Amino acid sequence: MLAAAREPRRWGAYVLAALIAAALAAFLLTPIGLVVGAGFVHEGRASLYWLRRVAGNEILLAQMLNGLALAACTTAACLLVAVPLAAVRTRCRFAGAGLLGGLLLVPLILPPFVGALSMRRLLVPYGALNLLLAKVGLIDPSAGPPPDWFGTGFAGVVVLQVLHLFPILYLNASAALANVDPAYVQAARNLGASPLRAFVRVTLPLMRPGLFAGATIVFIWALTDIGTPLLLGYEEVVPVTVFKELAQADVSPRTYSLVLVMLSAAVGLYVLSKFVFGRGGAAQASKATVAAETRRLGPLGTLGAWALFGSVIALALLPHVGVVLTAVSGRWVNTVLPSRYTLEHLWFVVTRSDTYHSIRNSLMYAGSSTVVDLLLGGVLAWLLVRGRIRGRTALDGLAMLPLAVPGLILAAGYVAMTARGSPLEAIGPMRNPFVILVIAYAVRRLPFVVRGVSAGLEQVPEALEEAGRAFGASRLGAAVRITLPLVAANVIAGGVLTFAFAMLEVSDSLILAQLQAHYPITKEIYRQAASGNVDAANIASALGVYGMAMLGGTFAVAGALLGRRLGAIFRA
Amino acid sequence: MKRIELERITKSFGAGRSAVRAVDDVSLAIEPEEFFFLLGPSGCGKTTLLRVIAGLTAPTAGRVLLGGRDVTGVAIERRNTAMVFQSYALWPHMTVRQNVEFGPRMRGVGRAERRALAAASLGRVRMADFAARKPNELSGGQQQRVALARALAARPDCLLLDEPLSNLDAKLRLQMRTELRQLVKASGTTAVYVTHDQKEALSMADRMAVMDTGRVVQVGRPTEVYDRPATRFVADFLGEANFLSGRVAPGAPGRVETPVGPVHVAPDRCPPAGSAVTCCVRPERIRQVSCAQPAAPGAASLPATVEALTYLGDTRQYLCRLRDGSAWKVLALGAAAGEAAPGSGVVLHFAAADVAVLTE
Repeated sequence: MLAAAREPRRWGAYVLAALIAAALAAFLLTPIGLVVGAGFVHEGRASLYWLRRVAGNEILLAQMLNGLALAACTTAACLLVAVPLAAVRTRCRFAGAGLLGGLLLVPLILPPFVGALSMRRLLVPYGALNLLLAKVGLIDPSAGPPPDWFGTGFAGVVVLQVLHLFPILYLNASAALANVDPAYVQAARNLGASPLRAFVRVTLPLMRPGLFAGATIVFIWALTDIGTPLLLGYEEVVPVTVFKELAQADVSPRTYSLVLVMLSAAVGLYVLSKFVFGRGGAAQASKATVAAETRRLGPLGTLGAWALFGSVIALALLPHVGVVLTAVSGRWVNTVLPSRYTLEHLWFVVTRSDTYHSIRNSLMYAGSSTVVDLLLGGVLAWLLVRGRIRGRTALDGLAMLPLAVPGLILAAGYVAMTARGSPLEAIGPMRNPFVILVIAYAVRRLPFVVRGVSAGLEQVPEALEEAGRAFGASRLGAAVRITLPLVAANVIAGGVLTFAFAMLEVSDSLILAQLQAHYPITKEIYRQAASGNVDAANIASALGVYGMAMLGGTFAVAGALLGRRLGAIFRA
Repeated sequence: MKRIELERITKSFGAGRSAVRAVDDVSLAIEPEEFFFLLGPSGCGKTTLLRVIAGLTAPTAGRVLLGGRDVTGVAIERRNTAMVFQSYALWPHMTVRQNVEFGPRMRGVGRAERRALAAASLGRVRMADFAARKPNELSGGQQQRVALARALAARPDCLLLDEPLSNLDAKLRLQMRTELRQLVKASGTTAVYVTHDQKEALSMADRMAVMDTGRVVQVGRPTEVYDRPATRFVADFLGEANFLSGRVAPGAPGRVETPVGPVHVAPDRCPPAGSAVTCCVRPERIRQVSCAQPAAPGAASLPATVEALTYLGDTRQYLCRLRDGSAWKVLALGAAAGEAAPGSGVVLHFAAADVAVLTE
């Protein structure tokens, strides 16, 4: 009787699952396959020729190692910054904690390129910081060249990436901390462990899966970042090389095999580290049995917390401040702050057609991909949590794959898919990239929606839906009247984040939009920044200010809706 | 094995007018090796009090003494107490052995001795074969025993148990009561056990404190608290009770005049003549006879009407209506002959020794 009643639901679930799997196969697996395949073809035959050429190329190998070192440094530094902040924020109460915790997320809304531009302006030998130091007499400009605080190069890239990416780990660490039942720590303290030992021996191991998830995202992000190295002039990494080669009309198989090497490195590392650090962790008792004891900090403690949060926030907001100042500066030469302010640039970018169009394009691309993601991701999350279908794990893995596959690789795959002569040429970058860009954005951000909505669904007891059915609601009716309102916050937050990240997207935007009329905002910023015009930095920064404003708004909405659960979205 | 003293402990949550006193001016002394129970309904402050002893919660006022030493300001990890948590709080990332070894390890016990301690402790709770398992591979009863082994392996000065049986099913809970008491008594540790289950407290405790809204209402051995409840709340909370209000008659010691007739109580426990009192009688102490039989001397004989009868297998429970309209419960053994049908008139008999006198 029961089995018979479930049968139709199962059929529907399988049909939906099959449709989604087909879509993901077409637009996720195919491009990856094309890239991988292309790397193995030489003169029309399967061969390891290109792979050998890449492997034998010392410059490329050095670039690969550079990238790994870069990503490792960035991830480690992010962990060092984020874990103490999260621990203080979740375990202590102090005045202004909410405000400071919120400000920590602001770095996420930094549009690409302009942050690097502004940091360079602030920190180079003759930049604002040294001018300020000279002015107050701390350094003597006549005694030789002033210090280069940030260098360009490796250290600069790491600093900028850390300042941009640590909030992802902060969110993850906070969520992981909130999930650790305080009774575990209390039991350890009760049996004689000091607070620090209890944290190291009990809390940290229990946080490991959450930290691992965040660290993976940061690592892959840093490994495949194009924007920061490109603008800081640190070009000895693979993504920059790939980007330059993909921008050419005819793409050599060598590029694809380069991408293949990168993909193997990313996936290989992901699997390896998942095996070493992320193994299921330990399933914890499902719900906390005692309320977390938060410690109210005294005046000294509050001061310390403010110093800790304040210094990180001040550093992390430097690029933003620089962007805003650059956007409104009329004249900023050899002075600490601009010597003349103007709204000209901000006005300029919304009135001139190419910059204005880029804003409009981005809103369209990001908006459309968000709608696609919400529909696809919502259904997928429901199937994964409630669908009771076979092959759930495989489907889940497929949906999470974009987190492990660098955007650059997918972009390269889309280029290959829409290459001249292929049936999909019409949606390729050389014609109108609207469709392929929306698909690219949607595929890349799908994990955020799936994770966000799943997290919500898992918190809604199925009994609530069953009760709805028992009182006469149809399956759809129960979903719309009961489930949807209960997970609305997660759905909206997932959508908002998808939108924000699509607006910020770099690799797809740079590679797939090749005609100026179709440039999204990120590519336009890059074009302006690299144009070499006198006011290039100002115009790029002005665009950046609009980007920041839009993203800031969306994050504020997401944060207000989700609170601490925001971290669940960044879980691989 | 230490004496635990609580001196005027108060714990308030919140501040100003909205402050709630979870524990309100509680003083208690728990003797060495005693198995002491804190009993009360949920929200009465018993768990907060336990957490104050452990050091997990700092009291707003008052002192905690362990073995005569003031530990009020001492950090949790230096109190040498060991707690069995309601959720067990077995660390899911460690094996059973690692969980049990944790306490000795934190006290700097060497590897070999630690192993031996853990093995002995696990052996005592019959979990030695599961040492290599992870906690989530164990059943609820097994987890409960491991949690106890972990606490005992720490060789604590006092053992604190927070509703340790509440997550087990009814049958297992019954079985664990005896076992748990034996283990705790064999360890010789002073133990404090928090529960809302009166049967648990009555069957396991050496002594118990009944708590209500943050205050200790009565302290005593199980029989004292059950037979001589200090207040209506205690009488009600521990099992069933029938109440009858009256006034002590002048000139006749132990005689209480009530609206339904005189009730005799033990003279030595009777307040002076003229006092308003409430007589409290347990349902199983009442004998119910038909109207025809003569009243026995010294006992109360209250005429009543049977209103309802509930068959409970081993017992029958009657609901009787007294002449003043109050409802009384009477418990009779199931096999007892002469079932009174609803509607029939009966007389309720009970001895003076079975009446508790409440003066509140």
